[in-house]
Amino acid sequence: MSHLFAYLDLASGSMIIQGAIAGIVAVPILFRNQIRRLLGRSTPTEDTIEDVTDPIADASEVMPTDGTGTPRP
Amino acid sequence: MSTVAPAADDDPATLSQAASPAGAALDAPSGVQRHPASWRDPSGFVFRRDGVLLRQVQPVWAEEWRAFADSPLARSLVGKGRLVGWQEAPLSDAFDESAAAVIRPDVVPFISYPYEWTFGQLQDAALLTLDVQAAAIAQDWTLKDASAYNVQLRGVQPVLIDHLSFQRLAPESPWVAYQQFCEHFLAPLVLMARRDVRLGRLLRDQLDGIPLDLAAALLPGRTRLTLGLGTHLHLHARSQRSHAGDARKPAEVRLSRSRLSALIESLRGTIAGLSWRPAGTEWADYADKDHASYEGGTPDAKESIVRDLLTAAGPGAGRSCWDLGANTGRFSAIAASLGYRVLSFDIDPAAAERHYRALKAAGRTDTTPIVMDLADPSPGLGWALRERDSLLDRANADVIMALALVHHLGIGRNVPLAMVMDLFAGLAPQAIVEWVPRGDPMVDILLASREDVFSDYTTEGFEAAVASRFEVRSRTLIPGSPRVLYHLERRTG
Repeated sequence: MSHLFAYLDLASGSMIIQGAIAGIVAVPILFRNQIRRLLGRSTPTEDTIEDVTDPIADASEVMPTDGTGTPRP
Repeated sequence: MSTVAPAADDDPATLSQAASPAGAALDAPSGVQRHPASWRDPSGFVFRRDGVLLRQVQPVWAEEWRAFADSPLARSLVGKGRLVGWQEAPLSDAFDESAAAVIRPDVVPFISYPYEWTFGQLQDAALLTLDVQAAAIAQDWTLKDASAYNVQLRGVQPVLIDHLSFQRLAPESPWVAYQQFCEHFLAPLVLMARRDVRLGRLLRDQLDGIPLDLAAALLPGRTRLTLGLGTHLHLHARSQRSHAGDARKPAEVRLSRSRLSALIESLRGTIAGLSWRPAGTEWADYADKDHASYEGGTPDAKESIVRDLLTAAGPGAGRSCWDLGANTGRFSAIAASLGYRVLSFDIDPAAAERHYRALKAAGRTDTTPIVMDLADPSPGLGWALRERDSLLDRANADVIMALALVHHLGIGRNVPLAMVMDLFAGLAPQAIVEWVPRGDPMVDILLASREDVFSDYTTEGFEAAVASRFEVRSRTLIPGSPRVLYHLERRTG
């Protein structure tokens, strides 16, 4: 066991990494969706947006700001 | 819109009809009680007025709520059964004068908690949350929280109960509930599927979800090698560690719509890809064995008696039956066939899972399996021990069945028979209880490995314990067996 985070809010790390993870997972998913589209099949989730914007084009989406991380309702 | 769906901020207990002692008044006039669990979300809260469940929307959320209530998304989610319905209530019904709106949500008959669910129930609740989020994104909305406590089960159908979780999606915004989803759903499901299903009980100790660093430490190393778990759990946990002590304000994350949708789709694929085979436990396999040799008598004879006793207990329609020690639901099905709304409790997560899958396959909506150790039932938890009600605080059964159970509590768990009857009497006014006397093969098995210190475990001792809390309406010997089925009615006064 390295550290216990009993007092610290871990939301910052979650929010920061979300952009990177989204970029990583978007590549195979959008590639798969393109293939499915070519084959005339739908994506698994019927309500998911059929947006096929190239994720690589959004590579510089992390930028400094005064945000304070994820609220936990 | 006058009829759509209801909401509850992390406090599903507020949607139950159970008369909870935990629902004591907070700053309220007579007859109006604010639920003690409804305080996390400043957008609104749940309260009761003269026993009727209501939700007050606060001015800070009035515009957002009105936009959602009038949206096609709300109509669609309610229409598909993904979000519970609601009706507008007059402002005169408000808890206080600060109200911007008041709604009356549809009632969920019994509030259960994620630490009481089977693997499949938690998985389906997770998939519902992601499907709702995907649908919301498609219509420029998003879920601002993804608490497992915002999902309830109607039969085997998961349904979202928190209407105030929806907010309009700002351009290029990330999912603010991503961390919460991973801690409430992903971490426990992975631990259950890849390590041990009993780890689902960690949720009882971790009401805000299982910390990702804990889950990462408990999981096999090979889980790092899959894209979904490697990113959403391990990389995620690592990032939390790395930034835990940062005094700097975090950078703003901007996600295009396509990447946000891909994130949700990736989570969905990861969750859907988890599986667990419910087998190998004594009770899950019990349904496959020869009941006659196990229980004595014939299954048909016992089923016939149980059906007669349930019928004698009154009409099933609109009433609730709790089947304690239900295993895979053989006798629950009888109660359901008589119109009862059934909760099927079992200590074995594999047996409950098999029951759940069978109900789903059959399309039944009248029965909900629950994983519960009756010798250690769910306690009150959370803030002031009142955020999550204990099982006893949620008791709303009209009839309980305790078939082939008393010997497991009385001998297997050393619970005195009088205390067993105390528990039963606290759950329902009527009980159908199977007495398994000494000489029964199962009692012999239970006694084989322990010293016999159960001097009160006799028919006389059982009947004395019964008499302290119940009147006996009937006794029926199961043919070909020493066992007796008792129909009991709780004493009044």
